Amino acid sequence: MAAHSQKSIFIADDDSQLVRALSIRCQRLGLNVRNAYDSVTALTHIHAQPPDFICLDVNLPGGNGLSLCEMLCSDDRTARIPKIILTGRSDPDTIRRCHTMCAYYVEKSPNVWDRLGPLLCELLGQQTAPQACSATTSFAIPTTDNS
Amino acid sequence: MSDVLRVLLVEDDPGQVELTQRRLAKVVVPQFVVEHAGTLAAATMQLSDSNFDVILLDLGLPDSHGIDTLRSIHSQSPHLPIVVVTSQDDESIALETLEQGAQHYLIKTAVTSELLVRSIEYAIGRQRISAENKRLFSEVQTANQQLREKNANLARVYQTAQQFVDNVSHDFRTPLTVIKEFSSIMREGLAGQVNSQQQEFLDTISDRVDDLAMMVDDMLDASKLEAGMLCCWRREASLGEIVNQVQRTLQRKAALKNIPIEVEIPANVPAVFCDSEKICRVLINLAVNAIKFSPEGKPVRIWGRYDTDHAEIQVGVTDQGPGISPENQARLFQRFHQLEETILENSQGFGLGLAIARELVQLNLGELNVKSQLGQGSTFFFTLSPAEPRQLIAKHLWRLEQLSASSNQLCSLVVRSRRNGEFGTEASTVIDEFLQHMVRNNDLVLTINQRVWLALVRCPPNELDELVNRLQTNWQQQSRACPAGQLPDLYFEKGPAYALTEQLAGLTEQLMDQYQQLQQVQNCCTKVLLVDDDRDIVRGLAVRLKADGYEISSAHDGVSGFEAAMRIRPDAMILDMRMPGMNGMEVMSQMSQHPETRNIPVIVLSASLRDQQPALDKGARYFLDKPCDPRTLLAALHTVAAPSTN
Repeated sequence: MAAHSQKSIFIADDDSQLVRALSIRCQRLGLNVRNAYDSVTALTHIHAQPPDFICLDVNLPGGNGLSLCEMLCSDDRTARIPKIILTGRSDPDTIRRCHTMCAYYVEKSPNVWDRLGPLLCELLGQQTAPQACSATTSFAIPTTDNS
Repeated sequence: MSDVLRVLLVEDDPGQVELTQRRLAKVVVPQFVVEHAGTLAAATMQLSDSNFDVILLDLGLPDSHGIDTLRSIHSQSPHLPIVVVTSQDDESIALETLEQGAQHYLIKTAVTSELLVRSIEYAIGRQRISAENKRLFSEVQTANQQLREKNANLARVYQTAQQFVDNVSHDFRTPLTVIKEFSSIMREGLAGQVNSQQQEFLDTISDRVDDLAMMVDDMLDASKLEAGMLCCWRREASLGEIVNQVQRTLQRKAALKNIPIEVEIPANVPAVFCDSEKICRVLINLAVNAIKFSPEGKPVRIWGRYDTDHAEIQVGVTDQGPGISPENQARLFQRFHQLEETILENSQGFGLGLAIARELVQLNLGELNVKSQLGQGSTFFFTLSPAEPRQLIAKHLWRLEQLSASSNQLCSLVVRSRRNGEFGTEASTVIDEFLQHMVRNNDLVLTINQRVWLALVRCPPNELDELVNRLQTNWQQQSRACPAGQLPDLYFEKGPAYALTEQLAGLTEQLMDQYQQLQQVQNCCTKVLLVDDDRDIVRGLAVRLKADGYEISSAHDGVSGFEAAMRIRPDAMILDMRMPGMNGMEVMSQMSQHPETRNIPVIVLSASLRDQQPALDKGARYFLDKPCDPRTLLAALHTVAAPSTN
């Protein structure tokens, strides 16, 4: 997690303009934004300095965003960071993979911020992993911590 | 038939030749012209040199005998009718000659002039029909082959077109998202101040981007529906929440036309059973149409109510627009159909919206309809089922009755999950989604509790095995890909099959019986194994845990505790540390070496705090020191293996 008090988000998407738009939005929420346009750079940067939240596209140069998310989930350093899959894909397999990884699925659509904004606000308001959201906006199944 | 028939008489008996020629000579119409061959060789030569209409064939010739004679002649002139005239009165030979291509079989001693002539005429007629049949069969085969090729070609083209639509739709999303985001950022003044006219223009950009996005979604949904790939995840949902989201989405669009959106959902409307995302799409579709056709300032009303007579929830969108004529109402839900009035006023959309909306409603066990009067406005309304098993089963059966299908059997499949302890209660959500995506949209998955599901699948019972295999394979794949922790194992158990030809009410009751039986059985099946050498502690805990809905087994030393764990495979184990024979640490070591017991969550009870760290290091989920507050134990137990509830 970021050492300083300002929360951070890492956005990995190969569309630089979308990244820019989302960065403006996230900065307005008080988030420090870092980004990458391919999965290898994303993985390196995330490992070097784990952010508080991760937002991944699926079709990324250098590797599939879902696979990247799976790698991050199985790594102790990044397993508990809330992850958001932001994608134009809406097939059941993609959605189910997100849910299996406890990642939030947000569909890339013109009202993306109507979904992403409240989700980030909710995450910012939580100290621990988030509870499942309504499927009508986004969805994640939190990792359980029974210890 | 021709007036002159040329006959080749193949016969080695001169008397028979004479007799046959005389018989045929008597006939005036048709006139028979008879040529004679005494051997197979002579017959073969004559058939090569001359044209004949029919062959009269004796099977016994000096150079050929029996069925071989027929085969030789038939192979040389397959198009000529052959009447076998033989002295062999044998039914098996007669049948064989007919199979080998003869058109008739006559016994010499039974032949009369009349019979001979009639046999020749029939043979010629049958040969013609046979030739015609062959020609037609060949034509059908050719046509079939052409159809198969065309079908394969069409399937390829269709698949390509569908892939194209999918790709285009997905590729549209990112640029649309970027346009919308930047216009919104500007509109909200995040990139500097904008005046009111600029705000209005930016709102218009956003609104039209939304329109375009909706068309893209419609195309994508139509493509998925067409391919039967639009999956539904039906769950209990609140109609109020769905409508609130629709209202939020439509706010700007409505504001641009100064149209108030009124929402009317009474508090007594029960929870609905639907895929809430799909129902949102339907309502947005209906409401966008309503806004489009409403005069400025006139409200659009989104309403819901519980219809007690039909035990269903009605949801509707009412506008005060121009209304729709009865003729147009009938055509309204057809794909690519836009009303003439629509085209005159506004050419937005592909005309897919209402057709898709109807199909999405049907996927959610409902029906979409319209009531409208010209000049009075329109109401589009649909039904949803309450999230009550009896209503769901009844609706599902009613829907199955409307659908044509090859099978009239409704198979039941009970799916159980075993709690492995590492994935928590959210696993049931993942399983529910998995099951619903794996079965067809016309099948129903009912949740009995967080660990048991009842799937109702329309197929012959022998095809259920295929589904079970598919479920097992896919679940294993999904489990392997789950990095957040091991998913529970799923167990499949085929239940009774029901005939859909039965009365719906009776069938509903039978299915409800099965549902309720599963509920009752599952209410007490969360198994906890107590292992402690202090029998009083075991007895006391057992009473308390049973009262809380757990099924209790117990053991009083480490060895029998481990054996019981292997045998019973409990959902959780409460383990003492200090026991004779094998202590708690050794029990956990043994358990960790066996896949059957590896994932059983263990709660350690010990009087010594020195055991705490080693026990937790060994994989215990909780360490509780004796004497332990029963409420603490129950709370700990609840997090690793909650008692099953409805």
